[in-house]
Order: sequence, then C-alpha cells, then structure tokens
Amino acid sequence: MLGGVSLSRAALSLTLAIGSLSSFAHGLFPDEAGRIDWHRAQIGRPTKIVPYAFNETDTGLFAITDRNTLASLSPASGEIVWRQMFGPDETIKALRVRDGRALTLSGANETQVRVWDAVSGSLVWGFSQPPDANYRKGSGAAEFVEGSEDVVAVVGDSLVRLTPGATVPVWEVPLNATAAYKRVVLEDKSVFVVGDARLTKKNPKPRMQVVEVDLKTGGVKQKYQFASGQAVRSNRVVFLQSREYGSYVVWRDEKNIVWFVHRLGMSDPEWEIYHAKLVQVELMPADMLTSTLYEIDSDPALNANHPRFVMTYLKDDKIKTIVVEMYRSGDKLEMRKVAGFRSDDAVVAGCGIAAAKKDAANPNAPRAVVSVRSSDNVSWRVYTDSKTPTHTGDFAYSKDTYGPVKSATLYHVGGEPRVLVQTSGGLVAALAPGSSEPVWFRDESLSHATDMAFLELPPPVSSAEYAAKATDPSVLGSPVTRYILRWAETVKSIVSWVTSGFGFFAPSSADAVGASGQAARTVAEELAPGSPIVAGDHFGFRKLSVFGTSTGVVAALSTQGGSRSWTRFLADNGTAVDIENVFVTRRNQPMSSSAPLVTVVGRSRASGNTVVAVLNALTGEFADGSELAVLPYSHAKVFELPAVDTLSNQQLVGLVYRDPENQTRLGIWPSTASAAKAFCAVAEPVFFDLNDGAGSTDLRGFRVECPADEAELDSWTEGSSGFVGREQWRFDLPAGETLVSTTGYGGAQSTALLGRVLGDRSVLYKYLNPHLITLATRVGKAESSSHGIGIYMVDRVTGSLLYSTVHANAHVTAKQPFLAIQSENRVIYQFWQEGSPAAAGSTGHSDAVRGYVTVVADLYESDKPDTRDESRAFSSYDLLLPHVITEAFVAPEAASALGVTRTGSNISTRDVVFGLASGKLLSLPDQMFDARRPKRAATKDEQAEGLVPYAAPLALDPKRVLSHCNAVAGIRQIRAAPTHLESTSLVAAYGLDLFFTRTSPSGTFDQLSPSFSKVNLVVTTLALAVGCLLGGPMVRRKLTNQAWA
Amino acid sequence: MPSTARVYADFTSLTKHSKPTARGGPIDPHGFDAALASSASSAVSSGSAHKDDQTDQMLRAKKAWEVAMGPAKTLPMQAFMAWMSGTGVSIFSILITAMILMTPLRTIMTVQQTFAPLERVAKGRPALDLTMQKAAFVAINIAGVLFAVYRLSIMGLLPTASSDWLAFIPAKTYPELSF
Repeated sequence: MLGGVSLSRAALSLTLAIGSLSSFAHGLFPDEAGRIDWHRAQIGRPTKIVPYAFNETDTGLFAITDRNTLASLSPASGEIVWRQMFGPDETIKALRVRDGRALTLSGANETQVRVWDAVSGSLVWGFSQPPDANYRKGSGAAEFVEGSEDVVAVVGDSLVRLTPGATVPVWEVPLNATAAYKRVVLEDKSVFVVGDARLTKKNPKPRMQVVEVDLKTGGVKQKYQFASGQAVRSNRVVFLQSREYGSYVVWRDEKNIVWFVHRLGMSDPEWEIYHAKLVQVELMPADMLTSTLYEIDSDPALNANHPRFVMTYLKDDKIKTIVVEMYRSGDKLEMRKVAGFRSDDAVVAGCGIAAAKKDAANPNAPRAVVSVRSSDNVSWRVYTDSKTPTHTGDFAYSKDTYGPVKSATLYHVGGEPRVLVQTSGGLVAALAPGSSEPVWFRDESLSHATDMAFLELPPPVSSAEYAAKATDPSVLGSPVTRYILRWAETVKSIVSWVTSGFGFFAPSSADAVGASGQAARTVAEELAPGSPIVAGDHFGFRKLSVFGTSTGVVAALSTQGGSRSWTRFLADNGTAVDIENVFVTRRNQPMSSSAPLVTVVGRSRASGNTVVAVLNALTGEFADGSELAVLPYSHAKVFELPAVDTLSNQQLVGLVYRDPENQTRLGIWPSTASAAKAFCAVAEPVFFDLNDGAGSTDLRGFRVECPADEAELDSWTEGSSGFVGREQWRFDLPAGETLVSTTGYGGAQSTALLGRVLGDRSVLYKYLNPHLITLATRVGKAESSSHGIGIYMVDRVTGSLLYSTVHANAHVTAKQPFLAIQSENRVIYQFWQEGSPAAAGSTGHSDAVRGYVTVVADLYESDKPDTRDESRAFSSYDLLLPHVITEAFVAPEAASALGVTRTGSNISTRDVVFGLASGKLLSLPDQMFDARRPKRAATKDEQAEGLVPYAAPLALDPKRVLSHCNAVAGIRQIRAAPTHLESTSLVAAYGLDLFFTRTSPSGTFDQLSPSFSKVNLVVTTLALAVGCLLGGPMVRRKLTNQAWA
Repeated sequence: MPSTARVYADFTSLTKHSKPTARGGPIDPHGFDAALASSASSAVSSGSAHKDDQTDQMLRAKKAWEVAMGPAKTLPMQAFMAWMSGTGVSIFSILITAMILMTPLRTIMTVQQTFAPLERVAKGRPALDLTMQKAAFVAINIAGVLFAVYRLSIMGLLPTASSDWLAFIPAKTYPELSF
C-alpha cells in the first residue's frame, strides 16, 4: 500500500519534471542560424524581364526592377542566381542582353553605363558620365552595337559610343537639350536617337525628334521632327526593326483611326498613311479607337525578315488580339495578320504579349498571348504561325490578392514554354502548360513595404481544451479546469512519445513541420493559403507580421519561417492604394470570439485622398460590414490614439488633415458617435506637431479641442469633419535651415528604471519626456563652406527648445542619410561628416573626422546625482530642461536604418540595431553608447557602474552581426517586438529584403543553456525514483528489526 | 575459656557530634574523620559555612565578568577575519559577515541562559545579582552587531543609498498626450 502511494507520487513528480521540460524544448541555440531566423532575398517589381538563351539548353531570365536592382533569375525555380543593387536614386533605364553580356544604363543626370557578365553577374566594364547642366529629365537609352562589344548610349546630354577598356568614348555627340532621348535604334551605318522634343511656345504640341548619327565617326547626319502628338513611350507607338527593311515607327493618333508609318532616316519624310485596314483586318472605327500596340522582339537580330508587333482591340465588348507582321511586296510595305486570339470574356483586366527568340533551332518562334479574365482566372495561349494555339494554360488566381495582371513574358525551359505573368501588386508567377498551379512565384510586393505591425497570436490551444470548448464552453471558464486539461494533454503527449519509442522511430518532426512550425506547403498553397495561421507558440516567438506596401498589397507573414497567412490587394477604382501605415487596432483577446483587426491607412493614387481599410487580422477579409473607405481629404499625419471605441471594441486611429478652409483638423477612424465620445473621454488635452515634410522651414504645434456640446458628439457620423486643432506654437528654424527629419519615440519611451545608478550608489534621474522630438535640419547649401546639420530637441506640447547643437561639415544625401532613434532618455543619430582639414590641423577636434559619425545624447533631469523633480506628474508646461550629455563615435559603416530591441518589461538591456548598407544587421549593446564613458582609465566607481573607457570607433564585431552570413539588401526599417521571454526580442528588418530573427541582449537568462542535458536530468530523476522504490522497503525492514533487537 | 565477645562495627549510630567514650562504644577506624564524613549535612548551618558563601558569591561574580567579557576577546579575531575576506560582495565575505552579525545576535538572545548557572545559588535563596555583567555582555555583543552592520554598509549591502529605493519610486504620470 505504502509502496503504491510512493510509486504514484514518484511517477507524478517525474511527469511534472518532464512536462515542465517539454515546454523548453524550443529553447534558443546559438547554432540555430537559419532556424531561428529567416531571410527572403528580393529584387523589386520587374520593369523589364529579358529571357536570354545562353545556348540551346541553358536559358537565363534577366530583370531590372523599380527597386533599382538588376537580377538574374533561375528560369526553372525563380531563385535569384545573382543580383546587383544600384544606388537608391539610380533608376535603371535600359537592359539589353547579348553574347553573354548584360548592358544596363542607370541614373539620371549622372549616368552609368555598365556591362555585366550574364553568367556570374560580375562587372565587365563600366562608364560614368558626369552631370551635365543641359540634361533633360527622362533621357537615357543604350544598345549594343552588333558585331562588336561597343555600346551606343544616351548619357546625360550626349550620345556616346563606348568601347570596353577605354575611359573616354570613341565619339561623343552633344544633344543640346533639344529633347528627352529615350530610344536608340541602330542600323548598319547609322544610329538613330529618338526622343520627345522639348515643348516651346512656337511649337507647343508634343512630337518626336530624331538625330541620325554616323555609327563609325559620330558625325551628325541629320536632325528632324515627326509624329506630331506622339511620345516615344506610348501604347499607340511601336518601333519595328529589320535588317532587310530598315527601321520603322508605326503609330496611331489618339482619337483617330488613321495609321502612320515612318521610316527612320527619311529626311524627306516618306509618309505612308494607311487607313483602318492596315493589318488586313476589317475594323470598325469604334474598335480601332480602343486598340493598343505592343512591341515584341524589337531586336533586329531576331527579326531579320519580318518584324512583328501585336495589337489588341475591343470588339463587341470582347478583347481581340492579333499578331501583325511587316513585309515588303515589291516596293510596297505591307502588313498582315499572322495569328489571332479572342478572349471569351466581356471584360479583360489586363493583357500582355511576348515572343521568344527566333533562331535556327526554333524557326517558328511562338508568341504568347495572355488574357486575364474578370473571373479570377488567367488563361493563356501560345501561337506559332498557325492559327491554332500550340500550348494553352489556365491559372486559378484571385486578383484580390495581388491585383490584376499587367504584363507577360514568354520563355522556354527545356523546350517547353513558360509564361511569366506579372501583376500590379508585385507578383511574378511562372506558368507551365497544362497546370493550373504556378511552377514558381515571387512575391515582390514586400520589397515595397512601407509599414509593418506585429500581431500577437494566442498560444496554441491543446486539443483537449479545444474539444472541451466545442462541447461545453462553460467548462473553460475556470482556469483550474483549463490547467488540468492542459496537463492531461501533456501527459497524453508523453505517453505517445514513449509508445512511439522515444521519438527514435517516428519521422523527424522537423521534417514534417518545418522551421516555420507550419506543414510544408506546395507552391499554390503558399501563394494562396487555404488556412490562415491563427495560433502562436508558448513563447510569443510566432506572431503575425502584417506588412503594408506601396503596391497596394497587405500581407501577413509568420515571424517564424515567414510562411504566408494571407494577402490582400487594396485598390481604389482599379488602381492600387499606396499604403502608408498599418495599425493593430484590436488585439487577440483570450476567450473572445471577436477577431483581431488591423487598420490600414493609405492614399489613393488617383485622387490622393486618404484611404482606410479595416481588415480581419487573421484572414485578411474586410472586417464585418466594412469596406474600403475613401475619405474626402488627404491626411498629413496619422497615428494611433490611446482610446477604444466601446461599440466596435476597436482602437482609434487619428488622421490630421487640412480642410478646404485651411483649418487643421483631427479626423478619427472609426468615425462614429461612440468613437468620438471615447476619444473625448480619454484624450484631453491632445497635442500634435505638423510640418510640411523635408524642406519645410518651420514646425507647428496644435491642440485638439473637443466640442463643449455633448450633443455634437452624439450626432457624429462618418461624414463629420474632424476635431478642430488650434495652433499653439510655431517653431521657426533659423534662417537658411531646412528640415530634414523629425524623430519621436514611437513607443520606445517606456523604461524599467527611472534613473541611472552610479558607482557610488547615487542616482542620476533620467529625463523621460514622451513629448520629446528630435529635429534635424540642413544648415547652408552642401557646396558652401558652412554647411552642416542642425539638431533641435523640442517639446511637442509647448514647442519649447530643450537642446540644440550644430554639426559642421556634415551633410545629408540619399546615399548618406540622416538616421535617428529615441529610446528611453537617449537619442542616437548618425550622419555623414565631410571632415574639415582646418579643424584637423588645429586641435584634433571631432569635426575633423571624415566618415559616418554616431552621436549619442543622454538626457538627465539634473547634472547632480540624487536630484530629482519630485512632482508626481510630468507636465510640459513645467518647463523642465534636461541636462544633456553627448558623445560622438565613429560608425563602422554606412547605415540605412536604425532600430532598438524591445522586451516585455524593459528589464533586459537594449541593443541598438544598425541596418548597414552592406547588408548586415549589426546589434551593438546599449552600454557602448553611454555618453558618460570616461576618456581616461575608469575610476573604481566608474568600473562599478560598468562604464567602459571611451573609444571612438564602434567596432564591427562579427559575433554581433545578427544577419550572420545573409546579405540583407536595402534595409529601410528595423522593427522589434517583445516576446513572452523577458530576455528575448524579435527583430525584423525590411526594405528590399526581409529578415527576421530574435536576439537576447542580456543573454538567455530565462532559458536553459544549449549544453543543458535533459537526458541526464531524466536519467537522474529516474535513478532516484528507482532508488527510492528499492531502498524504501529495505530501510523500513531495517528499522523494524532494530525495534525488535 | 575463650572470649565469646565479638567485634562489630555499627555505622547506624554514627552521629556528627559523637565522641569516642572511654567506656566503650564504636571506635572510629583509623583515618576516619567524622567531621568530614558528616559535612554534607552540617556545613550550611555552621558559622564557617557562612564565610564560605561569601567567597562563593565573589567567585561567581568574577566568573560572570569573565563570561561577560568573553565576546570582547573574539571581536579582534572577527575583525581580522572580516579584513581578510575583503569588502567585495562574494559568497565568502557574505558568510563571514553573516556570522559576525548572527553570532552576537544569537548570543544576546541567550543572555539569561548564559548567566543562569552562575546566578542560581540554592533553592529558596535569592539569585545572585549579575545585572552589570549582563549589561556588559549585551553591550559588547551590540558592539559586535554594530561592527557587522558597519561591514554591511561598507560592502554596500545596506539600503541606505537612493539607488536602493529607485525601483520603488512610482513613475510619473503624463497629463498631456502628444503625437
């Protein structure tokens, strides 16, 4: 009996011991690189995709994107083979691929021409044209010269012929700013450069201008204008290039059914004017007016004989697409239809055409015609010269997820055609014949992410709990019951673990589940997941990261592994919404049936007005009864308000705007009577600051007034204009200074300790002012000798200046941005300092440093320890001035983003996270940025305080690179979120790439170390239990015998 | 005729003041000192016994002073140990300090038991007055405690600095909201 009791007790304690360990099985291991973090390399939305056949079997896909990236993609998988990131303001304007070389032309006035090795992505040679005062915006084009490695390009305001290895052009022709030249057409002996002519008073109508230049000598042969009313880049103009016939421009005037064809170089214009029957198809004038022209295979090498283009038009509300071929019949130029395709649907959302290379191996190059029907389906057909399609395919796709298809490209993998469709939302999907699922896809919308919010997910519900909830929800009212159910579940899982042979014989759970904790998905499931992610984990590592993008896509990804939960495309009148902010306005509430919500705020591209959408954060559907709201104003500022609408149980979002009377107002969303009351109940007084963005010369502060009359709130509706904001103060920047950026706390002001403990155990009290904002200004012009950066710390409530300084010889450019972050009582900012030789010569002053400088300003209530403002409330009107201690450091590298880690109770120290331009995510401890670091050997007190002697360089310690071997390109934002473990913070970096990881700035003090042997613990516990079982009866027997002796 | 008289010793008649008589009676054995043998019952009431009492009390008081001064002798040793263990906060120095602190405290608690054997005289008689000794004993131990407290303070273990109360200071409230 006794033995039985002790056995069950031992078993229970063993179960408890094992059970309590099982939850730690997810613990953090330093060697889990790639398991605790994930990286998604992206390229941006392709502006041009060029398939290129290296030989008969190998094909490559080359893309230039709107995120200034040149990439080579694997045609079979869509993976990035290599990519090259260009500067932030270096738009790539041209891409040509030939003979294993890729040619790019990028930049605006300062133009770069580069030739890359198509296989390896390494730079073969490049040419840089310095800025030209005559440069006309939009100019820039480049072509390979056939039969040589030379390149002809429009760089700056010149047409140049470049040859590899030479630093100066073979010849250079100044274009004298007469047009924005966007097209280079090469013939055997001539170069034609075509552009949009400059509009003058005498000649105000748009037209094209051509300059013909001798290819060999660079001599200008002629210069003339043609095609009145036309622009080079228009959907009514195509260029046809043929070795045999020469180069032609074909166009149709707007609202006119007459065709025009012009042979380039015919100075005595050879106009060949046609009527609607140009392409030997009877067209009604109405149909003709809807026609759109598409250029295909414009490379003359591909079109030795018959250059082709494609035309689409609407006939009887159905789209018709025809492929047109140009040929000569005697002296006469003729065009004929070689293939046609009619869409079955009345409305077509988008259309794209492409053709593959024609060569000896593939004499009848196919053309793909892709038509997107309104009914969420992409159907495509590939034609050769016959009228029946050789390949067809369908792709089940909802345009509510990535927007309508806008273009298509055809390429071949192993002789089989693939159609690459691109949507306006940023999806690139490769389709194969006979399959409704894409072969691969790339979601490039997230390379345009503008904002991101973390959504906490509820812990996984045990199946016992789930079953109990389904049968009798009242059972779960008691926490004890829930606890017992959870334990029952744990015991069950232990039993199954033991019966399965301790996991040795079962399939590895990691293989089945994957790093994301989600079952491995197929391509189609990953594109459009059937079941969204609704449960997190016990530690808060798995949350949803909800991204808003400027392409109109809102996407929710798991922070673990990055698997997709849902995607939604927001469009206003068919055009994508430019999403700017994402707020979680209703959190997951335990035991509540109301779903969490995200409020997405953006701008309509058509009208510029504010657009608000409230989405279910778990499914991406619009929240009950809501739809996309286009507000009658354009907001200047948006923020979360600490008020909850009692009726909808939704947090309020505040939108600052100016009404037509130029009155500044604060609108709220949801804009209902109950929300207005909730706002006035909690938020008085409310202040906000406003400026006209970068370049403005002042900053104004406003105070929001709630109406005195309660009835006004009762009658509040969606159409009500917002609360009036009365101007309280105006902060005029000194003359000659313009605003660069404003930085606030953004929620990072909370702290665990109100003061800084010094070595002698006295306290320096932190100056914690949530209204603090840091302004950075540009002082003087960059060319002037007195240029610099001004720093102003201002109170947002009163507009009072708390601290200011000027950094001389510093400047801000797109490549050398000003970055700032506020955390607790600390402001950290980084900028580029030109350095001044004068200062260097004099005293070795910090202004002498040439490089990136990181400045830290620590704000304390007083310079004397143990001195504190004793009032219980901090009012900005008390005008407390901080005591500011500053220090400057030399930053290791150029950075593009700054962030700071966050933990649940702010007890762990914070790490400052730098997103470096070289693609590293560097996490440096907070203590390195202490402005009190002594500039000599530390005293005993300073040592006790943990102050490290000052050293100017911030070391790039490889052990502190969170991104380890990943190159996270183009980081624009770094966000952090706390987990349920105080030691651990989630860190997310986004920009071009996405990178998620977690970090423990103070060490993993609340987790078992990786070397902890659970096997040892279990074995020891078991051994002790067995020892008790065996030893117990023996001891009892001995005691009994002793009593008898 | 042989004498039939038998020699016997009868200790039952042994009394304190009995003296050997000429006529006979029990003869004390050699070396027997009747006074010594019966002293246990006779000493208290005699006059010389009273004189002994005073000596005894004096001795007890002296002994009590020795007991009272005992802790003072250990103080230098403790101070030495404390000096050896240093002022850093480590397990060893904390153990030493705890010992220095707890020993006098525990001793003060047991002051009555410590002096009880010395002040108890006999049943029904008033106890010896050892107030001064006890006071000295307590004072010396308090000095020990004070030394321990001083040591705690130089080790930084006393919550005397403002930083020790930092965590308990309520955070300020912010009446204004700004965005």
